[in-house]
Amino acid sequence: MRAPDPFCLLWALTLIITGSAIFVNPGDSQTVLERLREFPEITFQVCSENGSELIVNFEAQNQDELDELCRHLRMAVPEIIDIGHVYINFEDEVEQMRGLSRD
Amino acid sequence: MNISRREMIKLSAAGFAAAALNIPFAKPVSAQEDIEVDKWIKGTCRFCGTGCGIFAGVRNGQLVGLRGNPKAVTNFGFLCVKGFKGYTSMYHPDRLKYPMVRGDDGKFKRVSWDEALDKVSNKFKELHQKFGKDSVAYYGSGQCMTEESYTFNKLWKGGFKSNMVEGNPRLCMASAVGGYITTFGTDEPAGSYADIEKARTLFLVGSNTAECHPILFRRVARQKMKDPDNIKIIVCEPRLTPTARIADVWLPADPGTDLAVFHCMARELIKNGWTDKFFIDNLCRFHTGSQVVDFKAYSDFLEQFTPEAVEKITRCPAANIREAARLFGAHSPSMSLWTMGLNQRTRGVWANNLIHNLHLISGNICKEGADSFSITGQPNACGGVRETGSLCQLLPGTRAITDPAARADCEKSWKIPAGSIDPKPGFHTMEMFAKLGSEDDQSKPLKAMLVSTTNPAQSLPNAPKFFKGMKDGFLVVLDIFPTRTTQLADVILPAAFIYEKGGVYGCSERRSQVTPKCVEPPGEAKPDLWIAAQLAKRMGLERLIPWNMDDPNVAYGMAWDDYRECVRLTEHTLYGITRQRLLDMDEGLQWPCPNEKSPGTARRYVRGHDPIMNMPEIVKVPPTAMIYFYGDKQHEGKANVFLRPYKGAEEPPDKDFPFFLTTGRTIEQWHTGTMTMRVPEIARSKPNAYVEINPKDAEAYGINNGDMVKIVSRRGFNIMPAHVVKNSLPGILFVPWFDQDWDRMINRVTIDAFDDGSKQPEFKICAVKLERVGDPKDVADMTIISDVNATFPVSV
Repeated sequence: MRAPDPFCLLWALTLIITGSAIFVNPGDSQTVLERLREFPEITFQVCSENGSELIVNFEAQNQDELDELCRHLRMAVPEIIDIGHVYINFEDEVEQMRGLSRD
Repeated sequence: MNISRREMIKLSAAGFAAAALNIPFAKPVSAQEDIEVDKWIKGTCRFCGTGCGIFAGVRNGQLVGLRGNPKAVTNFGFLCVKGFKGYTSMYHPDRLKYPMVRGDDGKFKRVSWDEALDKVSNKFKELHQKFGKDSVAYYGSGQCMTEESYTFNKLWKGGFKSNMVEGNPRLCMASAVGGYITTFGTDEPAGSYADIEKARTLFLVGSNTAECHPILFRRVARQKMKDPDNIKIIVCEPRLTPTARIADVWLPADPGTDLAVFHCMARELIKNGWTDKFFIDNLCRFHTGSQVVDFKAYSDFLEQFTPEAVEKITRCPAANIREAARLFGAHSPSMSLWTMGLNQRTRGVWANNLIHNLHLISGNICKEGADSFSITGQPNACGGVRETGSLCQLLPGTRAITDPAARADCEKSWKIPAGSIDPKPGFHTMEMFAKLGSEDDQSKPLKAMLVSTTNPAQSLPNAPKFFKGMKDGFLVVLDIFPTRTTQLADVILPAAFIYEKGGVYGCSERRSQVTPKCVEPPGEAKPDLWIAAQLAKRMGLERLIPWNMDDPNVAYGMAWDDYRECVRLTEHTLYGITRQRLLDMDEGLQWPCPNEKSPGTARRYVRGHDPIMNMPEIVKVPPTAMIYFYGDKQHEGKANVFLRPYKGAEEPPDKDFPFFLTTGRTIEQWHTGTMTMRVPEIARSKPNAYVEINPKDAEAYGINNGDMVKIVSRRGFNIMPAHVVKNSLPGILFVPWFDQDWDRMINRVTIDAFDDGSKQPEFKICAVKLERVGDPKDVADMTIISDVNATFPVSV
């Protein structure tokens, strides 16, 4: 088997911060907000006027962990209809990647 | 209040998400500074055909992040994993940075641009002189910018007077083009993505939308989740994909048998009166392919496709087909969405025709929420290749090269002598690669090929069949990374990435969007447009392609204007889509867009929506017609409803090769993995190809999850791990096609048979046998070809 790409090792050390929306039925927003408190990786920021969209941050070590967190959240909180990400911060990763340039 | 940088990032990230949903969000004063970028530049995503709007964050001359553009009407600010992460591959150290020419010792050596361009242009000139104008081919991509495809197309067809122009969209959407043109007389959908939110029934067919077009799938899934009792989803797909999991009705037909399902649905629509008399009487022409018949003949033809008879052919339960037809006809408006499952077939055009049939006889088209909509696979297959006519049989505006009026119009626009454009189509992709070879081989009329932004040595079906031609011919490759194709090349030209040059992409809904140049390319990499223009200059065609300056914003602007002028008086006119308008607008513009005041067209063929209805200089439409299919070559404003006979796959399973093999994408990976495999997180999540096997088949063959298995077809074999899952029906195997590793490169196994009409190959279906060859083995090696001088895995 080939040695792991150094970029994969690099990623394991990186933290992802997202700007995301959690979609819920308007009547369920309080229930979902209560449940979100069980997840220290999730920061609630603001809710839409009718309560159907919750703006949050997810924090994870990498994309795999983020995907797993979202999957787990959906299963644990059935009132969640959907989760979507609008922004993922990973600017430091690019700098580290450029630092490893083969030039 | 002091806010840490981390808190500031969280607040800014939340601000972007809130803005996407129009939710007021006030950040603390101390966090008002945006995430640390010098500027956010509006553009489009590099992956898939959805056309997601993005903002590219630039800091200190480098791209440091992408975020969704909340005002983009394609994605409303949301992006998928590939969209967020894929671009980081542009900073991978494997980027090709310098021109290279293969030396006498067989190794690539760095040369100057002048040396490389002189070598290519001199060789092309020599071959033209020695073997004629058709001895040199261009093979482009649905990932090139529109201006690039247009320029290469113009250079070849107008400059070299050769129609040897093709591109990888032949492999992904040629059957959709064939379907639209044979049914409606003109290419591309009538409606828009916005119909998704207006439809009550959504028919997803031959499309794993959840993985291949995840942002569009979000729109579908959200509709369903918001109103589950009213919004109904039908999925026709042999695998229980993540897409099929949200379906109200799943139609699991065996690969290649769904023509019978579609005819059966049409029969049910007619039997139950779920039809539209106005459409049938006024807007449909019933056609066998060779003669016009009446509605009764069509109804009689459909009688053979009873639900029970079709269940026997397809394994799809009769009750499911009945229910699907009921939803489609009685729970309208209905919208169909499809991709490669219909297109990559030897009967791809017919499959497309039969979906259009359903919409036409039930009146589910040209209305809000009702459309027959082909989703394209690549970001610019529609805008860059279909619309610019960069295929062997087309001219800009998706006009037939055999049409004398279209040729004359192009010649006038290009200011070349009348009669310059050859009326005979060139070779289609499969023929092109089959006829590429050495100068000594008289059986191979093509002696050279310039390949841009695609990897045919991995992506062609039955790929090894074509290695020798690529190796023996003079092969020039423009790309950003080493690939299987660069391994066979004579010259490698390092290309700039989308954000290093800019340009226009046109997505599945006829929408053009521009991306300006954001950052500098690495090393000496150059935009494809510059490369095309420099070759033109060296071959004495600078007057034809004068945009050879270094500033891409100027060069791409000139090419775009030339293209707009060329298609000004066509049904596909985008004359009103100026580069400046695209730069100014958040959401881009949909053609037809005949002038700078036009808002573009969300719904074609409908008076009051489509400006072409009132443009007699392009096409004459009767003043009383509210809906008129003006592409109709009979000038009756009708669309063809075809009585296509049932025909299955080219190579169905038999006793020697008892399984169907079907191939496709996964959500993480893009095409041959040359970019996504260089994004560590993506590579790690799908590090190697695998074969999905139903548990019943696995048990019968003594295969456990993870065991190494051999998949053998009449053409070749692969060895890879087994994924024993219930997703695939018994008798059907699935393998994703991104893996570059020789053992797992599935196009060694696939079949190169192709559709008679569209010439699109049948990637989706071939017959294979299966054999357990060993215990589980770790093959998560994330194979990429990093060295241009790496040895090719087989002797060619």
